[in-house]
Amino acid sequence: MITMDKVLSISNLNIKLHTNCGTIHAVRGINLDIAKGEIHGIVGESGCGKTVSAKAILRLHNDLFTNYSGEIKYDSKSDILKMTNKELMNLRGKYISLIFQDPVQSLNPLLKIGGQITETIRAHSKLNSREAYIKAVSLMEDLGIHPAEERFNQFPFELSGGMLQRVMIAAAISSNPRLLVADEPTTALDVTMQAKILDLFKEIRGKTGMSILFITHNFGVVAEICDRVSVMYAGKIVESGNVKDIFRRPAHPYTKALIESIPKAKQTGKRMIAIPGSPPELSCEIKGCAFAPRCEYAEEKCFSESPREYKISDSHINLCHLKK
Amino acid sequence: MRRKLILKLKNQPLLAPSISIPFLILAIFVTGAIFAPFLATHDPNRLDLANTLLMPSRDHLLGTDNEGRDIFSRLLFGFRPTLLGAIGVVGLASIVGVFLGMVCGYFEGLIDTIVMRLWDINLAFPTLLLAFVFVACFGKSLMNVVFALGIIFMPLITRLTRSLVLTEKNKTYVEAARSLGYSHLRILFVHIFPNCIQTILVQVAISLANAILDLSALSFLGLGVQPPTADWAVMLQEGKASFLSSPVVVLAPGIAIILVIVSINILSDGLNTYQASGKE
Repeated sequence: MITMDKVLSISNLNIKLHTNCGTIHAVRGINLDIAKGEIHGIVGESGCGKTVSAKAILRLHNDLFTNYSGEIKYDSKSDILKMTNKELMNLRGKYISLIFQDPVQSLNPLLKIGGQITETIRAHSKLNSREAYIKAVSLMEDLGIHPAEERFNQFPFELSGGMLQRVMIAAAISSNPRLLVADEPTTALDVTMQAKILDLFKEIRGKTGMSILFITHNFGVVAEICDRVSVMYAGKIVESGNVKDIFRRPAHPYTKALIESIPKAKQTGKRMIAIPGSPPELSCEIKGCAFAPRCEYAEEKCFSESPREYKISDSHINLCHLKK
Repeated sequence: MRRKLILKLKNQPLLAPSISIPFLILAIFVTGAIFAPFLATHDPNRLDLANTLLMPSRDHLLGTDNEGRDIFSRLLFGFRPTLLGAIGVVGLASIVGVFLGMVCGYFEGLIDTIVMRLWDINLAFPTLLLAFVFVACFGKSLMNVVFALGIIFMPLITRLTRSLVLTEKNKTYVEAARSLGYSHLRILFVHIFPNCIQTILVQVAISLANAILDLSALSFLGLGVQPPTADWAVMLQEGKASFLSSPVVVLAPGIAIILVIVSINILSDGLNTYQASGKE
């Protein structure tokens, strides 16, 4: 993997969210580098901090109720966590874009979809409304929204979920951002639509060389489109590496268990494998390895000491006491 | 073909009786006020001391008052100051109130605390008492009363708008708009505002009815519209002495006030129901 050009590099990121039910330490020191042109997957179960980290990349959390520490460097230069509001506004949508899980909820129900795409174009360029219209229509054509000119004047409720997700993608990539953060973009869609949208992501990457951070809880999706993958558990990245390495030689017990619990087409008459127990509460401090209570290989050390990262190979990093 | 049309009209929610009837009544009154100079049969302020307290007749459609002025003509002209005043009150209250509510709800923090505590103080006073204080300080006139009521009506609209913005700003589309790099003002006024406007409009309509009632009360007490200007409340005030001998003098403006206020209330209720049915 080429690690020369880092579009984004996150180091030792900690996020604490202050909520009505106390402080939640949602992200506990993650390190993540995204190279130019790669599709990087983040996998993990619900509530492990995937979405919190994704939003932190654009600093979308309410600053009043959120504590950040660590660094999120864009283009190895400026730290997003230290940006002013104006710099952030310039960054969002122009250099880094975010796509949300539910396309029906993420478009303004009262504005025409075309307007929502041209709005983004015009917010980040000096095009006039006619030029923005032409650009939006050609973008919609490229993304398979047909007939684009007719769709341009429709409202979100007139389109299907898959179409709306294409509209969201159109708005997100309209200014050719360097990085596209996709937060479970296919979860709300049915399986055929999911495959089409995944193809679309690959196509976009191929055409523009955009990096994509792809957040999902579905290992199948990761296998299909990602180059590298990071597995998250309880606010930490427990294993990260090339997709092939992770699938062939998973090192962390959690990754192993996750891959084993993917339903297989040939497996009949057997119970599906599941990981026992449930993930820890992120509002309390976790002693030792967060996965230890559910881990079948856990030793005494796992319950008392936090594991350290070690490198299996240059690109394969594991966070576990059991080195083998 | 014709049956289809009737069916279509029947199912048209905007033609439901709770919307169409009060709308019709209001339309009649407002048209009357706008075209008063053409519709009036007499000069509303011309005294005719030879013909006081006449019963309704062909010449004087609703009779005359204790100074011989034509009641029908005064009724037409009498809605004008109240209507203009009420529009002024609601306009002032909603422009300032909606703006403050949107800013407070969206940005929260210090500005929110300051504005909301100020409005809490404002709400602690009874409505009319605060208007009295205002008039006592700045003098009796319609303008002053409109200004006073405008300030008194602001907190309600501010609070409503703020609560709407608070729920709206946590929706995904707002977050998506932020993630695409739109400015705060753009998100607030282009994206959030249209999603709140329906509910705000219902509150504005209710405020309009309240404003007419309060303005009338103040004019009746002699603080708002000053005689001899034709105004419903002034007419009530002047006619109350001759109520027993000639009830039309009081009944005409009294019923007019009731009709207008009840119509506005039913209309805003009907619009609320219509809006709720549209959301399902």
